[in-house]
Order: sequence, then structure tokens, then C-alpha cells
Amino acid sequence: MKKMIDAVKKYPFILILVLILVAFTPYSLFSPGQSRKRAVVIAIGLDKIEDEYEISFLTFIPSPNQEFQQANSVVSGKGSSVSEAVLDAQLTLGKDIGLSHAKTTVVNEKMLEEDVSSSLDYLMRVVSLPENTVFVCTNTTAKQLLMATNSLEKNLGIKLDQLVSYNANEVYISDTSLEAFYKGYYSPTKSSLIGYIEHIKDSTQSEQAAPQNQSSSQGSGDSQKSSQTSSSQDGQQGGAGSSEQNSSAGSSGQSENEKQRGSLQGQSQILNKGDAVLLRDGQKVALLDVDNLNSINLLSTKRSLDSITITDVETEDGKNVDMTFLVKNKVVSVKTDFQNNIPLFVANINLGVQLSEIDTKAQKVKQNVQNTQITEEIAQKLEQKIKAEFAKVLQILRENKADVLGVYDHFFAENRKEFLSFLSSLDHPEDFLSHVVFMLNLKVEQDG
Amino acid sequence: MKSISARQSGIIVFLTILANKILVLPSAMYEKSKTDSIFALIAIFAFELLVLACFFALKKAYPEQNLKEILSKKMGCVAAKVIIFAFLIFFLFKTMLTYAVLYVYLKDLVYQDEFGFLALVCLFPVVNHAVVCGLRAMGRTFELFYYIVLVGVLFCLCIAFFTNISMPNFFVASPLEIFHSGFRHIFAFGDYLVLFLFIDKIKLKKGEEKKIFLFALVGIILVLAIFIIFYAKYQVTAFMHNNALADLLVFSVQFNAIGRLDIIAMLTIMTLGLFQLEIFQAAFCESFVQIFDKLSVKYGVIVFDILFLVIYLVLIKKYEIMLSFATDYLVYFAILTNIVLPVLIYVLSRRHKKETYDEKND
Repeated sequence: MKKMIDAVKKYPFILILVLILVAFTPYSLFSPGQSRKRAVVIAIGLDKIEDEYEISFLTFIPSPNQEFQQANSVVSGKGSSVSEAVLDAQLTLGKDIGLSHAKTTVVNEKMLEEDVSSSLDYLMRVVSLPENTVFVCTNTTAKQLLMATNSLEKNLGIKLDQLVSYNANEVYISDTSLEAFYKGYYSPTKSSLIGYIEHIKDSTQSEQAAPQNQSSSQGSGDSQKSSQTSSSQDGQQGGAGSSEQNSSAGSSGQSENEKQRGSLQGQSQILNKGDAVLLRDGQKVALLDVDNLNSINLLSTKRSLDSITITDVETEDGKNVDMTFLVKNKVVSVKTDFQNNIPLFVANINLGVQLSEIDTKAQKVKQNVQNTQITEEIAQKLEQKIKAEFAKVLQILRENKADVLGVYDHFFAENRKEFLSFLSSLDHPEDFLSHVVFMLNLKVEQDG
Repeated sequence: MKSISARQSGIIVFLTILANKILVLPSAMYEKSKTDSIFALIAIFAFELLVLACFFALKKAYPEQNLKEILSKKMGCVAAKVIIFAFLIFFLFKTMLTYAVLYVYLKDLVYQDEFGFLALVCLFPVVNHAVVCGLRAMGRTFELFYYIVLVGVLFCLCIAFFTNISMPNFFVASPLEIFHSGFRHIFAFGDYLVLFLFIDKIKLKKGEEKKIFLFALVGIILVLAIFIIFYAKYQVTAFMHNNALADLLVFSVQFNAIGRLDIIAMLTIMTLGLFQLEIFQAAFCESFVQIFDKLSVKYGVIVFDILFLVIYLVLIKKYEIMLSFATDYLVYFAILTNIVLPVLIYVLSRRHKKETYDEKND
């Protein structure tokens, strides 16, 4: 004992260590697990219905199982502000929410009718929504999309964030995260692009759908889930795919409030056509399709999933066919200049294309068309088509005063002084895109 | 007397140069002068390197004496104690700022809820123990962890290159804005002044100054790299990200697939924060011992803990208040400690050199 007292005297910090152990061991032993106190949110949906906000959380429910399947459920809350809606959802859930693992943020189109950043402010600042979440818009409600996603993931293993990330890499050629949205929002042009996922609800079946199948209890026993089989179908426009599947039940609890929210059942489809929403000042100004996005990506050095179809190409034996080419290679160099105080945006683009398909229109073509070289006529038609598509999207961007082409950045970096004086000479500097002359020097070649 | 080697001193300089500059400072400075904050940073670091040269001149002139003895010879005991008291206050608030920044980082990323009591109970016994053990024990620990910390910081920087980064636009702020940005955040600098307080404990052989300079340069280059890559990655949204080094990792979308790498940033920042708190508390206690020469370091530790608890937990309470206190009021105090005192000390060393030269000639 004396030895121990001497040791403590010699090293008084042992005493502090023991005190810490004594103070915290019972606390650690008796405090409930984090999963009992905090819900792990993996996706968030934000809707505005009339003047009320509805926030939906796709939450992960940790449970022991041998199937390596993740049990998720959608819980929602309503309120006159986002913070009130979050509190309501937390009440429903009986847990605090943890957004660190949230990978997708969905908003409905109504949210984008006004500056969406003001609605996201609370989530970003107070409840620490990570900015690397994929940010998407949907046509119906975010809640319905999350429910459909839940089932999609359960049955097909396709996650919404993966779906949009694929779009981001192959179609948009730019990040579509919340961070990317804010980068555009706070940039001088105030423009950004976010993903668009269409949700189609089959009204005939959904109206009749009854609460489904199995239910399981998790944790505090207030979570109920149901699912049905799912199927997928191909052949969507532009090569995009869709998945037909059943939506899973939303949150369910014992309260009346919960019952009112109900659980949406029935057939629903998630339709990913690779579309994107063009935003300015956080508001939706246009919906861009894959062709528009391909034209925007024309100026990007990255290659996108681009195919170009030209019609009525005359073959050597005099037959008219339609030809589809895939862009396999792209070299882009962009230069900005001022001539007589007129800003010039010059893009030199070399495209390496490969013939991928010929529509012979039921005619017999007596030659090996697969080896067809790109003739002058084909190259000309391709150039005309590309330029026409680019003109279309440029018109949309000019009309909406939205620069997602990076024109402002190029001029600012290369001709800053002249560009700033040019902007100051304009009555409406935000409309600068209308005054910029675009020159596309296209060179289309056979790839390889 | 237990002394530390030039290498250990260099590592202390390296650790202090990273203090308070790798989390909130890049975004705080961006708010005032955008990416041109880099120029303010370069100017301040250039001045700091000059002050480091002054320290070597002083060390050469007074190889064995401590700061109080050096100042007492030239200015009298009272003036010397007043200057050392200024350092004591400086390092007390430095510790508070470092603690506040570390606390908020951990709260944001790990705890989500307030955990003030837990943080104090976990951190301060370790910090106190290190200070009581002495500078040599601390120096050896830092030496052991130096490469781990260095690799951690470099890893965070490297990962950022795998994400979308583009060269930020410079020369977007006016010289006045750049000056204002540097001025408002001057309290986050001058951490290497701890060397002046430990001057008698540093064993410096001829030519070993280069070693310390090298460590200082590594620290400065890393801070500049963090600023540049952070601005290149976030650009206009840099003001939204309060944990620069960690945010270089956390928001790398590509790496979500292989799990959360932010644990590396977390460990690096926690280790750095702990070491910095130890250094600043040791500097406080050294000032305390030099002012009250009859009392030992243990009393310094107790006084520090009491002052910290009373000032931070009772008066300041919140991180935001600490930050605005540092940028609004402590700025003027930092001008005194970061600029006036080093210049004064340099003048003293020059005068001493001149006197020695005159004596030799006589």
C-alpha cells in the first residue's frame, strides 16, 4: 500500500488517469448505443408543397443479418421552415439525425422556383450536410423518389447517387454535387447544372395498392418496411435506361400524424434520361436534354458519351442512309480575344469519330459500309449538325443569361483588363454572353 | 539544465508554423482578400523568417542566458518582466485559440454535439503532463511523431489532386484588402516566438541554424501549399469551408467509394493540435517561471489551468466569440508581440554586438 501511495506521489498523473477511468467507465457502460440515439441518413429529400416544407430522410437501420442487405426506411417531417420540418422528422423517428453519410440530396421542381440555396442553408450550416452529396431534382416529390430509390436499391442494387454519378462522369462531364452547385451559385455568372431524375408513378396501380407484405421491427420497434418484386426495362430514349420497381413504404409509427403521412405504395419508375436542370441564382431556368449537354461538353476536354446521327447520306451506290457516329477522341483548345472591342471566343475542336450504326431504311446496300471512310460530305454534315446543336444550346444559355460553358472564366483569365472594361460598358453585364462571338473551328476525322 | 537539440527546436518551429493556419484561417482570409490572401501570407512569412534570423543573432550574442536575463541587462528587471508578461498573455490566448479551432473541428466532424467537458478532461491532463515532464521530453516526442504528421499533411494534399482542381485567379483583391486581411489575422502568426522563451534551453552548435531554417521552410511551404490547393479546389466557395486541411479529403467525391479517408486528416489534426497546445502551454509556463522565479513549472501549469477555465469556459464560452476576439482585439496585442518585441530584441542584440566589438577594440 505504501508503495502504491509512493508511486502516486511520484507520478500524480496516475491518479488523474484513475479518476478519468472511474468517471467515464460507468458512463460508457450505461449510455445507450449511438444507433439508438442517432439515425444515419443516407439520402435527403426536400419538397415544397404550397407553403409548407417536407423533408424526407432515407435512413439506414443497423441490424444484424446474414444477407449483407441494408435495411433502409424513409421518414419525413413537415413544417413551415426546413428546421421545423427536420424537427418534426426527428420526432417521428425518435432519434437525432446524422447527415455525415448522406450521399444524395433530392429536391422537387417546386423548390427550384425560388432560390433553393436559402432552403439548403439550415441543412448546410446547422445540421452539417456534406457538400459532396449528389444534388438532384425530380419532377414529382423528393419523398416519392426516395421511396422508389429505396426499393430500387433493395431489389437491383442500384443506388441513386451511383446513377447520378454515372451521369456526372459520362453525360454532364462536371460534378453535380452540392459543392458544384454552390460553386456555380457563388460564381460571377451565378449559373450551375444539377442532375434531373424523372419519377413516374403508375396511378392505376398505386391507387389500389394496399400495405404490403412483411414488416420488421428494428431498434425501438417503430420501423416498418415492405417491398415487392422488381423488374427492369431497357430501351429508353437516347440509350438511357429505366428501372421499374415498387416503392417501399415510408416511415410508419404509432402516431396519428404518422398515419396521415401514410406509406406510398404502388408501381413507380425512375427514369434516368441524363437530363440536367440549368439553374441561375439558385432557380431553375431550363431543362437540358442529353443533346444540349453534349453540345455544352463539346468545349470540354473530357470525352462524353456522345453520338451524332446524320441523315440522308448518299452511299457509293447512290442509296440514302442514316449514319450514327460515336465520338471516340476529342482535342479542344479554347482561345479568347478582343477584336474592335468585340469579345471573340474561339474553340478549335478536333473530333475523332467512329461509325457505329447505319440505318439503311430497308434498302439493300451492296457494299461493306462498316468500312466506310469519312468523306467530305459526311464530315460536312457532321460539322453542320454539331454546330446546329451548339447554336441551339447557346441560344438557351443566352436567353437565360446562364454561363455554364466557362466563357466568363476564360475571358477573365486570358483578357482580364479588356473583359472587365467590356463588362462595365454593358447596360446589363449579366447578359454578356449575348455579346460574345463564338467561333467553332471543327475538324472531324476518322478515329484510329 | 535539460536542453533540446537543434533538430528538436526545428520541429517545434515546424509545429508552431502550422498552428492555427491549416483549418479556419484559409477560409477566414478568403473572405477579406479572396485568393490574394496568399500574398499576405507570403509577406508575413517573409517577416517571420527575418525574425528567426534575429533569434539566431540573439542566441549567438547570449548563448547561455534566458530571455529575462538578456532583457534585464539592457532594460532593467521590471521592463524585462513586463515584456515576458506580454509573452505570457500572448501564449495564454494562443492556447485558447488553438483549443477553440481544434474543438470546433472535432465537434463538426466527430461529436456533432457539445462535448466541452469531455474535451477538457481528455486533453488537459495529457498537455499538463507533457509540460511538467519538460521541454526535452516534449522535444523527443515531437521528433518521434514528426514524420507521421508530415506524411499525414502530405497525404491530405496529395488526395486533393485526384479531385477537380483548377488554378485560382490571382490579383482580384486590392492591396488594401490584402493588407487588411493580413492585419486582421495577425494573431494566428508569430507562434515561433516560443523560441525566444526557450532560448537558453536550445543547444545550438555552429552551423545548426540552417537546420531550424529548413524546418521553418518546410512548415511555410506546407502552409502555402494548403492555401493554394484549398483555393484551387474550392475557389468561390472557399469561405464556406472552415476546416481546410480536412476538407481537402472529406469532399473528394471519388474517394467515397473506398471509405472515409478523413480519418487520416482527423488523426493528423488531432496530433498537431495536441502538440501545439503542449508547446504553447510550455511557453506560458516558461514565461510564468521567468516572472515568478521562485515558483516551479507545476505552479505555472496550475495557474494556466485556472486562467484557462475561468477565461475560456466562463467568459469567452464560444468558439465564435474567441475568433472575433482574436480578430478584433488581440490583433493589436499581436502587433506588439509579433513585430515590436522581435524588433526590440534585435536592436538589443545589435547593441550588444557593438559593445562587445568596442570592448575588444579597447
